Amino acid sequence: MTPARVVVVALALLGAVVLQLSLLSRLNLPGATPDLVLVVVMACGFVRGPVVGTIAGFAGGVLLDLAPPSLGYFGLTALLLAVAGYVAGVVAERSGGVVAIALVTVACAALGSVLGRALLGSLLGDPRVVWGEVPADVVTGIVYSVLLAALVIPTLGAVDRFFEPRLSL
Amino acid sequence: MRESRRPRLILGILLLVAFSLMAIDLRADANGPLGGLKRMTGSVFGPLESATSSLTSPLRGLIGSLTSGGANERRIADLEAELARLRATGSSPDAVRRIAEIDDLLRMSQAGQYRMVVAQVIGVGSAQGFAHTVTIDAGQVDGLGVDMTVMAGGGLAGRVVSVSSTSAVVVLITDATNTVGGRLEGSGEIGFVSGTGSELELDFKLLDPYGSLKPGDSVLTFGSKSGRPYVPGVPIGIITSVSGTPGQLTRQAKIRPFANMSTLDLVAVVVEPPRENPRDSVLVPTAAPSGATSGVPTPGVPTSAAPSASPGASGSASNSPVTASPNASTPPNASTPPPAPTSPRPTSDGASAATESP
Repeated sequence: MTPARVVVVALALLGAVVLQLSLLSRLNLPGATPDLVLVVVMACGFVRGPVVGTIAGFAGGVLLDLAPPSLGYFGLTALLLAVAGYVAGVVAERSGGVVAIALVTVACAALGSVLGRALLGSLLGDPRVVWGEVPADVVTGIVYSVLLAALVIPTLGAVDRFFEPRLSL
Repeated sequence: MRESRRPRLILGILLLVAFSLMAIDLRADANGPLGGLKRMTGSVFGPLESATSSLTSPLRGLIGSLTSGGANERRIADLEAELARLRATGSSPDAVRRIAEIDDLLRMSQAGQYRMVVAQVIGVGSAQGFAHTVTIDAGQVDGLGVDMTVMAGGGLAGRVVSVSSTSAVVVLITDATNTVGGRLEGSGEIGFVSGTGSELELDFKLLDPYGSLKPGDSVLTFGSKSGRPYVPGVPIGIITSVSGTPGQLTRQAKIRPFANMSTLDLVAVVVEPPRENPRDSVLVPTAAPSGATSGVPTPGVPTSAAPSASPGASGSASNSPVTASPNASTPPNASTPPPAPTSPRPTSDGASAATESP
């Protein structure tokens, strides 16, 4: 990781958090809010491997947990996204960067993210968890994440190559 | 194999950190170390969210009209009428809508004699996080504090839960952890309004097992001690269905909130509660427009106009031609409404105070 790449990842995460809170969640799309931060974290994992994916996931999750108007359990998003980033990195290493596999992984992660949040929330005694909403959130969450991933992963890959062409993945 | 050990180690460490953060957060209150961190992040993200929100506002409007109005013929007719009106006045749809919202807020402020600060929603919590919260672009510097009442054009929206220098977090009344003391219009029977996690529905429990409770009745805030977190007299919603028979321990009903929680944009934070309880005076003109837009019949509303002979009622009655304008689409009024001094677009520094002292 060159300093330039660290800056790219940091800016991508920051932008994703702000866009998710100020734009995507206000679109009133049916079901879940498109999880742009999850997609960016996984894109980091796909492009730069499991270590960067894990750290990006943790950082993005902490940002989402801290940025207003979050009220949930601090650390919960960081935990879920760190796992997602790790999985993305490992899958990328094993599969050699096939786009279809990346998209399937994002779909699985979207499912895991929504389910995991509801499950951990109810385990921790969060009175807000409404299980009736979860199926719709899962389905729409998968659709939105895959659509976003189809845009974000190639973009982040291109930016990554731009900063160090000889190490393209 | 050696290479795959490092990522796993890092994952393990970060998961441990995340678990400990959760443990700390579960035990700590708002004044704990994480509360300070959250306030600090709030003051950094507040301006960022504010800028993103205003930059992407046209995009939001476009996508919003695509996803919500496309198939609905009545909505298309409404939009065509609005378009004709806009062509006549030469103002943008956004500006006209905001003028109507400010109009509503000003009327409520005058009728209830609340002192309020108008602010704009700049961020919304993710749906899959289950918490119904929004960020607004007013904070400590605008005089906001924790546990202040927040209203939107139609009625009660929520309360302030945390404040940073230029932004604040509001928990909406639809949040599943939220409970508001409610009072039925007219009869004054009291009960509790709780969020269900759905944006369209609240639960209402009437305390008196033999109290009268019927669909179409409006519910207002009962008011908390010294007006925090809820000032008295703010319209909450209208009863849509009643369950349970008279004589049960508590009687339950479903309420549709007056404020549209999914499209909150301009809100008003009550920084000073009214000197005396406004009773039903805030409600009367409010119920008419929101009933018309949401399609809920409001049979109980006209009858409640008579008993509210409080001093505030006369002021709100004289105001009603103005508030009718967003509803009845009168072109000449739309461009030059009374709230002109309060600019329809609060500047980025947060909010403009709308103060009434009759």
